[in-house]
Amino acid sequence: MSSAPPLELVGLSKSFGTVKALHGVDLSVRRGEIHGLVGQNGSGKSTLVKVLSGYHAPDRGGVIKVDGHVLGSQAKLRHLRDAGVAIVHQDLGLVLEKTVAENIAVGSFSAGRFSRRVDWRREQQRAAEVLDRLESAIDPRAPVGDLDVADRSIVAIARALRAQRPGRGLIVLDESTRALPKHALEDFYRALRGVVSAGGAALMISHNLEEVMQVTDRVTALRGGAIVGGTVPTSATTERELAERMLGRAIEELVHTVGDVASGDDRLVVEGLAGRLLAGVDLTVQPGEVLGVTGVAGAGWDELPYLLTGARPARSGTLLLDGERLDLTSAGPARCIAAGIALVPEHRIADGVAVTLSVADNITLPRVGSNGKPWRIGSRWQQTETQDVLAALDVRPRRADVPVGQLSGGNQQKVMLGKWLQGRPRLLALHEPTQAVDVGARQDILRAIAATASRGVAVVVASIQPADLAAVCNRVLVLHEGRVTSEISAPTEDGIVEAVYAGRLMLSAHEG
Amino acid sequence: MSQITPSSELPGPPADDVMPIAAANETPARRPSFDRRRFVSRYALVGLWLLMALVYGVLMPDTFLQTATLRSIFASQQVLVFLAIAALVTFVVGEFDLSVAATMGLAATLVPVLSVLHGWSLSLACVVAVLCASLVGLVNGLLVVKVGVEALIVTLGSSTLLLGLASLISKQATVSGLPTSFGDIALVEIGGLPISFYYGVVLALIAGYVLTFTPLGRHMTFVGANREVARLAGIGIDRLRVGAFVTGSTIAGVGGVLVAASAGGYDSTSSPTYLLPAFASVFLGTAVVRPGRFNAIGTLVAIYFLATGILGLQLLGYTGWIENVFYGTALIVAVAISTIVRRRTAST
Ligand SMILES: Nc1ncnc2c1ncn2[C@@H]1O[C@H](COP(=O)(O)OP(=O)(O)OP(=O)(O)O)[C@@H](O)[C@H]1O
Ligand SMILES: [Mg+2]
Repeated sequence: MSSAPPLELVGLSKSFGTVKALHGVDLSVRRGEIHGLVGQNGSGKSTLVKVLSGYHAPDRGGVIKVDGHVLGSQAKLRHLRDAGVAIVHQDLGLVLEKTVAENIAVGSFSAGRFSRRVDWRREQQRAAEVLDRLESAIDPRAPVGDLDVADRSIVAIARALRAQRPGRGLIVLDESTRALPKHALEDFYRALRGVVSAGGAALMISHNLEEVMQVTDRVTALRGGAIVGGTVPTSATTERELAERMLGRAIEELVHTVGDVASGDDRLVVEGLAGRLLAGVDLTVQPGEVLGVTGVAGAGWDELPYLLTGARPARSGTLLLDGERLDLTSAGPARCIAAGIALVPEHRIADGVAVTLSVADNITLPRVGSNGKPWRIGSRWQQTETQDVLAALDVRPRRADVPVGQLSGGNQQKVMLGKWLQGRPRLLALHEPTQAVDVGARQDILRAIAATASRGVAVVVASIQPADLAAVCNRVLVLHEGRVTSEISAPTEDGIVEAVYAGRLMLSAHEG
Repeated sequence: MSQITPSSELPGPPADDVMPIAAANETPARRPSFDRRRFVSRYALVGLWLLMALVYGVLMPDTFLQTATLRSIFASQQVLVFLAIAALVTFVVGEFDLSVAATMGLAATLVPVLSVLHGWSLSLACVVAVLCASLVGLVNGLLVVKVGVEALIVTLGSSTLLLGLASLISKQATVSGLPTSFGDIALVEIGGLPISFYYGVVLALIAGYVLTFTPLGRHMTFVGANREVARLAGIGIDRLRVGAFVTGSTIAGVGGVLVAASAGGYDSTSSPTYLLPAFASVFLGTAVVRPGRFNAIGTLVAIYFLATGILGLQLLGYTGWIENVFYGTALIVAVAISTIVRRRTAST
């Protein structure tokens, strides 16, 4: 085995027109280490991954070395695979119509020697093996489209593990862990550590600095496409120092943004709400209140935002918003929007924004009918709205005309949030609102949610992130098997984690 | 994914799609008032067009550089304009309609059949022909949207079916004998060109305006770009999709009436030859004006670009087979270009 580092980048740059997304990056990942890569939204992390994968060609002059071999100007997928480089992209890159086993097998089919036919029995077997390593119970035959985000990330990670060769190679993870619940994370870290200590290496991109501190051996920060301060051992730095390094400024502690609840009547009353997993939930939200809902995967809490907003028809349930009653079994998105209800969904690319259309078009979409005249949308209000959102949420670059797909993941998230905040909703339902955003942006978004509530809007946040819920919610409901099992009125991170896992234990005790 | 399934928005090169609203409010330092790259990518096809004209002009100074040549380029493409805009309407919402040509043919057959063979009044025959076309669109649309059959299957089927019906009602013959006065609605000359040329231009301008500047057009664009995003924004996606089929077919029907009028009759077997040029123009149109997007003005430019190419080749002595070879190549090249553009800039 060679002693060359699994990955070495020398003077790597990448420009998009006049935008320099990467600027002379030198980076070396050692064998046997988990290497953290952190940086603000738009700092070039995903671009680096895409250059590595051969998706983007780097600018002239940069060198990519894998296991000591210089890759050609544009890395070829096959070479990467031969060198054992496996990549989990930020958007996971799964084919939703295909099964778990098919997705895991992509690119490394075991074909019969003569027939070249893919041996599906063997592929299913292999898929089951890697999933086992991650202690996951996902059925290899299930279509990926039926899985929730947590399970989808596990499939994407499993695919990378499957492609990785024991004792060599490199796994690259672009924010692959953000959707995983705590217990799945632990299994994943264990599997990753196993791979790495057997002679592999990992490059792990994450906005969760706590995770970076806990899991990585060394860490590198990117700012504006360039490395700041070189690579340092994780043990020699702190979370705060890291945050300051990547943001280039000191950051305040995340203030507890929870606001006061206006006394008076309930703004929102929901009765008997049932969906695919939800089995009869009642809840109320007062004006100015932020209500959190959480639980383990499969408990049904993550259906709530969609059922409340008409995005999916409920099995039963009514909603009373400021005295206006809506039957959630039949009210579609149009009726709900007209009633002042807005949804910020989880799947940004699938449900949130049209990536090929411009930032301005995306932000103004829900209102082109109501603000415009039938024969002319009008440009003044679109301009104002767009500039408002770009400024209020600090979207970068601050340009209205670029296709949303050219923004970094975190900035896309802000555009999606801004699109609905501009509608001045009376009820705002969000699902994982801070996914993919950096520490600074996370604060911006949580503050924006709190500010929205303080205008008297009823807000419902569904999230698997206890820290987000604790930061912004007045009250948190914990669900198990489709029902509310506990209500936390002054939520703290620990309190939420405890309630979620207490319920889990309780259930397994029942079953056992 | 199938080759022709359009995603109605093919992302263009960076910063090509400029919303008119965006330009004004930008920091001037980062925005040169004239972006050469953007201009080039927007109008490359127009430049190519001029270049082509120049080459033909040099090769055949006597035949190509004639007003008659110009006239025959601009006076002969009206059917194509109607068909291409009809196809465009369905492309924009992310569907496609292979039956536009056959629908046009049905309408063009019905007018002489009803009025000449059955003695109906001309105006009634025209109205019924257009309504039949709309009905075809409605049936196609409902099958695709409500029943959920693939648009490829539905419109391939109805295209063949309509072709058969048209030849049934015309008793498999060219029906002619429409009064020449009727031909005036298409043929009256203004500024040396028949009035139907202007119909085509006006149609393209209207389509372009609606798609770019009205809420309806914006909604259609989003339905094509990301149906789920459109649905969650409260847009009635099914209504728009069915509506696009009906509108497309209606436009094709009006085109049919004009064809019948200008020729005084119609040969119902000729319809299929119109389909490919129309599709080629729509795809080639995504390379102009708003690169990466289906757009009406781009389509119009593409039609006359292709017509110039064909005519030049014909004047050079290539005839007959050249049309199929040229349009077939154009379609493949046009789709290839838009696919490459999409691959280069697709990003998350
Ligand atoms: N295809 C593209 N065309 C033009 N600019 C692009 C393209 N892709 C990315 N960019 C720009 O390059 C910069 C780096 O983006 P990148 O996606 O690498 O950020 P990131 O560090 O992954 O951010 P995030 O944490 O939000 O995912 C951004 O300014 C982005 O707008
Ligand atoms: Mg990224």
